[in-house]
Amino acid sequence: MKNVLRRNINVLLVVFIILFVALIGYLWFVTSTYGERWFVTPYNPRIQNMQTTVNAGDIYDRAGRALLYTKGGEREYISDKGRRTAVSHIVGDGFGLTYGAQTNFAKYLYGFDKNAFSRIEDLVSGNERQGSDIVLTIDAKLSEAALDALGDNRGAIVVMNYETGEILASVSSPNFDPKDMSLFLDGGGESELVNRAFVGLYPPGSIFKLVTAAAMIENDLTDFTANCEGSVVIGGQEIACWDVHGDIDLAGAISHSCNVYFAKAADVVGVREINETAQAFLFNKQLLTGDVIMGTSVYEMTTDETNAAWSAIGQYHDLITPLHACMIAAGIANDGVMMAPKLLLEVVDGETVTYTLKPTTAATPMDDTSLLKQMMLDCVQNGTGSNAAIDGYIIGGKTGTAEIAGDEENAEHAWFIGFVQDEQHPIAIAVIIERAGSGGSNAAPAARKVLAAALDIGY
Amino acid sequence: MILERRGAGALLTFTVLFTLSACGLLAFSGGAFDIGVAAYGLGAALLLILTYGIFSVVFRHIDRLTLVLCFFLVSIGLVLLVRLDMEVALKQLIMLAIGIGLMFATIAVIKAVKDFGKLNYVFMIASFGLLAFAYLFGDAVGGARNWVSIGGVSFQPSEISKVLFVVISAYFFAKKRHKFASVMYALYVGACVILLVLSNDLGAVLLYAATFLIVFFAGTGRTGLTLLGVGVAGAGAVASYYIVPHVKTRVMIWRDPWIYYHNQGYQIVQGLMAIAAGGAFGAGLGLGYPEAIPVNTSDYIYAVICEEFGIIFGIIVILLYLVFIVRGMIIARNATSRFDALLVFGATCMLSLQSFIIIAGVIKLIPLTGITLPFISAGGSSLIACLVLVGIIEGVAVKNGKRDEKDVVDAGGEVI
Repeated sequence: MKNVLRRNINVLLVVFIILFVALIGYLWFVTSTYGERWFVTPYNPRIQNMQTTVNAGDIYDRAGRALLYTKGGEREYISDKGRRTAVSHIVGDGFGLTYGAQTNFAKYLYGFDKNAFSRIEDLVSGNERQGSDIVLTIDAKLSEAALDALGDNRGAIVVMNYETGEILASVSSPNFDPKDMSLFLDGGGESELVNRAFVGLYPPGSIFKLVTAAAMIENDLTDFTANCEGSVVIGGQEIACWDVHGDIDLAGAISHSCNVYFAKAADVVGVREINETAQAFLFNKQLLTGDVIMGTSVYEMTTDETNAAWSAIGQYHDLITPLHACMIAAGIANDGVMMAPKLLLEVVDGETVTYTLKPTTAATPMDDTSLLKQMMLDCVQNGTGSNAAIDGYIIGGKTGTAEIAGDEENAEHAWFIGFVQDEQHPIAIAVIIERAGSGGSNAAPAARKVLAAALDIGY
Repeated sequence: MILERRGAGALLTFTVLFTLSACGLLAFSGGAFDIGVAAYGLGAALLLILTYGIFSVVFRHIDRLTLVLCFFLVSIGLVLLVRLDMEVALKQLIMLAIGIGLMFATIAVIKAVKDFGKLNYVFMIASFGLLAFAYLFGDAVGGARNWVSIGGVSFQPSEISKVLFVVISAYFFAKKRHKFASVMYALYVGACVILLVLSNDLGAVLLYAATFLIVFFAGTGRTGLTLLGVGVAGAGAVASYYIVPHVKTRVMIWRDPWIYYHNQGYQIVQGLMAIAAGGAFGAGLGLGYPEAIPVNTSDYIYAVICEEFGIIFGIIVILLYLVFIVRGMIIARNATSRFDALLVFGATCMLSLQSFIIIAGVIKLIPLTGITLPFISAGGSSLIACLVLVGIIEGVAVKNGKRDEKDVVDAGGEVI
């Protein structure tokens, strides 16, 4: 009997050991995976608390222009209001109301990256705690050009280097002035604080046709052709096209953005296959790599054939963030390798560089994107994207005109995503202008302006 | 044996150095040297050394490693309390002294008695009475009605009841009891759990139910029935999710505390931020911002440990609890009677489960239930109950040692 008791005790000892080892494993896993995210929320009182006790580091753009600096113990923004507001969503505010660099990179700015030993050393030696300076990947001048291209419209523009994932500019309109936050601190304002570029979820409209096309390529269905008579009835509902395209193939359907072709293709490819490709392009996935906190884009599989057709042309429940749209263009331009979006170029502690950007891959949705690339080049050369063309450069792109569910009165959202095909100038862009109408005539010209400005600077 | 003593000696030295240097650092942190903080550290260190000395002289066969492990965990608590709130820290030190006194008494009693016999029925009434008293007249703190205040002294009856629960359970599973006894015991366990559910003390419910099932399994070895018990408990938990709104809230904020940040999720989120703020090596003692965490001195002290000492230290703390469990189980295995074995086993399980439940809750592995971290959290009742449970373990260890010594001497050897 005694031996039975001993055996039972042994069994339970093993159970306890497993429980506690699991506890340790979970603690290690969860803090190494999510620790950074837990820390960098605007809610974290440590960040506000440190602003008063630590000499916070400065924030520079990639060209070395100061965007926010500490002078005589005071935090100072640059005096040029145009530039200040153009980078406001990226730099963030000092009150923890937005997810800008001041929150996201608080670890460096306030010296949380220094370990206990060097902090105790600071304490004992009586030195004021000094945070590190950070250099962002954005270019303030290009950001101004991007904001200018949006004009008075609401919307967002993201420009990134598709080989490294560095975000060269990201603007969101309307924006806010970090120097005067009184309106928002009183709980006022509309959506100025929302960084549409990273967390704004929009219906993708026709830019999603690239994903459907990718699913067709992956499933060897590139030979599929359809006849466009200006509209098609699927499951009892009419899906209209913006033109009558007649007999059309995949390449033509992309460059002329034919709704009928892709609505019909939805059934041929199948929602399961489209879903698989969409996931490979990071739809429905939370991106944990990279320096940004971005919304999760949505593709919803549906068994209803009408909705399936709508979802293949970027309507129904499809949603995407402008940054993700830019990453898709970048991934196609970069031969199927989607780089993780990066914002932090360098961290400098005094004279020493303690961090330098290392490009990482976010996903590899396709092995060969040459077909898609060619279609996008055609789209700008002879198709709906012709307004994005720039003399002397090879530009690829895709336009989108996204209908807003339940809102037939106002104009559609205008989309353009594209890239420059040039080893010297590996840049990708996404433009969304809210309720501006057609993507080809509204978003594409804005993209041209911004790309021209970027090429002018030398990116 | 010699090796174990050396290990215990080394750990005690480390504990004393840890306490002294931590209090020294905290004494300097305010700018001017705070003599009170330094004196506190010195006092705490002296108390621990003195206790170790007296205990190892009076109870020659005490398991020194278990005692010193408990001391080290206590000293982590003291140091953090000095850093967080000197008033609470002073109270904790007084409670520690009282707790050590009671631990001494417990060892002496356990050493002397066989199994408390019929006294267990008195224990049952007392234990149930305490819980009933808390339910009827208690004050709600943090959602659970488990505090009782008598003549200005407030305490948690469920902590005292917990110790009795271990003793009673060991008695009833030590050998086959009469039908009447079994029915009484079953009624007692059921009544306790129901009272705790009614008091909204979810942590205690989990602790009592799990300890009961574990001791049941060890005592009877009936795997099927134990699994059935686990199933019933699980079904009860699922049912309570739909019936008790409090439980539903806990599960909701466990799944995503961030969306409930401004109300129920606040505490969990603050804890997670604190753990993340420390990183692997911690912000350093006195250099974090644990002031932001609600109930940082008791239930949430593990988050403070991680913020200021780092996640690696947090892992070491978990490992120390694990070593404590292993020691407890070894003592249980060597016990001279079934009652003693189950007693130590129950006490060890209760302490281990308690540390698991709260640490796992704080790091969001399981839904959070308010319960203290054994030895470390502030709280007189909790600290004293933990020390008395150690007293139970040590009492049996002393009995084991005596028998071993007798065996060795009988065989012509000598014990040093």
